[in-house]
Amino acid sequence: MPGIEECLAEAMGITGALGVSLVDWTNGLAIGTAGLGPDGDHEVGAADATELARAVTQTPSFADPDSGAPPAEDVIVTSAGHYHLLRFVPAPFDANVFLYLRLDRDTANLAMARLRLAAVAERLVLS
Amino acid sequence: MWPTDTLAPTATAVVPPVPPAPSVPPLLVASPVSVRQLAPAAGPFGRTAEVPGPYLTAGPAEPAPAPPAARRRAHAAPLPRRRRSSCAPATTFEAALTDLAADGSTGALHGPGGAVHLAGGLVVHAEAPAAATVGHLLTGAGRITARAWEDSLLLGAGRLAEYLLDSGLVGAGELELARMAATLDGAQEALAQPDGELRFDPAARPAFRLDRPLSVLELRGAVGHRRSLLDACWPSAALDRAPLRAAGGAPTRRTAVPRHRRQALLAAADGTRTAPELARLLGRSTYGTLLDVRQLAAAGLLTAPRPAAVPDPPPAADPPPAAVPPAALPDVLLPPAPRSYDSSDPEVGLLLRLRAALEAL
Repeated sequence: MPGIEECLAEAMGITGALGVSLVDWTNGLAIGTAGLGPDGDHEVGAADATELARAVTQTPSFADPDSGAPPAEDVIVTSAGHYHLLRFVPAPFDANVFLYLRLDRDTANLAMARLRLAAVAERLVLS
Repeated sequence: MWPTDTLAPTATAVVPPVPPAPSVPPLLVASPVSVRQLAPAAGPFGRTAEVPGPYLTAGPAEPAPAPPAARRRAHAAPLPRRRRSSCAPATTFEAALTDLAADGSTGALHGPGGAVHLAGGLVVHAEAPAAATVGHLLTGAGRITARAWEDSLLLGAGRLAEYLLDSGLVGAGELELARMAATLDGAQEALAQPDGELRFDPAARPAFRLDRPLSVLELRGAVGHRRSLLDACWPSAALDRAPLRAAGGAPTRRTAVPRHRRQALLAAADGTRTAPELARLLGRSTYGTLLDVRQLAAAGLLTAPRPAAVPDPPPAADPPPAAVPPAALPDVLLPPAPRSYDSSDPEVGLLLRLRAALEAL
C-alpha cells in the first residue's frame, strides 16, 4: 500500500529517469516530487506540464469523451535531449492528477518507461 | 487604496534627493506605481552602490524623469488599487488567513462559508458546507461503503486517518489525494466567501491533515488557477449556485466531459439541485462538478431555470416559473460589500478572478 513518496521513488527507478512529479492539473500544484525538475525547478515544470494536461483533458478531440474510459492516458513529448511522459492517474474520485516523468533520451526506453509509469500510476490509487 | 492627497507630498519628497533615484532599475521607473513604492527604499540601496554601470552612469545626469512621472501619477490615482503585494487578498477571509499564516498560527479560521486549518502557519486542511469532504469522495466513488465509513468515524475517533490506513480500507496514496482534493474544494469555497463574521479557533484540529502542507500563497495561487480554468470553459459564475436543469436539446458543440459523467449529471439536473448538491448526490468533488457544469453550459446542455437566461423564452411566457425567481435570486446574489465595484457582476467577477490568478503567479 504505497504512498505518494514510495510511488515517486519507484518512478525514479525507471531507466533514464531524471525527475518525476505528481501534479494536479486543475491548479498546477506539484503534490510530490523526486529527482530533478526541468532546470532544477519542479514547480515551473509542473506548471508547464499542467498546460499540456489541460490541453488534453479540456478538448474533445483529445479527451475521447465518448469512449466511456477516463479522459486520457498519456501525453508524450520528445525533444532532442529528453522524453517527457505524462500519465493521468486513474483515481476513483475527482483527483485530477497526473505523473510527469522526465527521461534522458540517451538511456531511456520510451515504450518500457510508458508501461512502467502506467503501473506506478495504478498502484498509487489501488490499495 | 492610495489617497491622492498622500501622493503629492510623497512625490515632492522623492524628487530632491537626486542621487538615490537612479539606482532604481529603468524597468521599474517606467511604472508610476513602482516609483512611489520603491522610492523610500531607494536611499539605502542607492548608498550601497553595487548596482552595475548603466543605471548609475545614466542616472545623475537626468533628474528630469521624476516630474513627468508625478504628472502621470495624478491621472492614474483614481484607479482602484489594492495594497501592494505579490498576491493581494481579495476577501476579508483571505486577508485574515494571510495574516494568521504570517504569524505562524496554528488553529482553524472559521467563516460562515467555510474554514481553513493552519498548523505553524501552513494550510493542512480546509472544509466548507458546499464542498466535498474526504468521506464524500471515498464513499461517493465506491471506495468505501457508507456503512464502513460510519464505523470508521466511531472506531477511529480522534485518529481517523491512521485508522483508515491501518485497517486497509484506503491506500496511503489514495488517502492523500482525497485529502488534497477535499482541501482544495473547501478552500475554494472558504477563500471566496463574502464578508461575514470570522472566528479563529486555536484549539481546532482537523480529522485529516495534508502530508505536504501548503503555504497560504500556494493555496491561494492554486484556487486562483482553478477559478481561471472554470472561466476558460465558460466565463460566467451564474450556474455555480443556481438550480440546474438539462436543456434537452442537441449540444451546440462537443464537450470534453466523459460520456458517463455527462449522462449522470444531466439526468440528476432536475431544476431543483444546485451544482454542490449534484456533487454530493453523485459522489464527486464540487470542483469537478463545476468544471463539468461549465463545459456543459458552454455546449448548451445545461441551463438555470430562471428568466435571467435570455435564450430561453418559454419559461418567461409561463406563469408558474415566473413566480420562482423572486425566491431564487436573493440566494444567487452576493451580499453587498463596501466596494467601489459591483462584484456580483459576472464580468467584474471574472476580471477580479483573473487579477487574483495573475497576481498569484
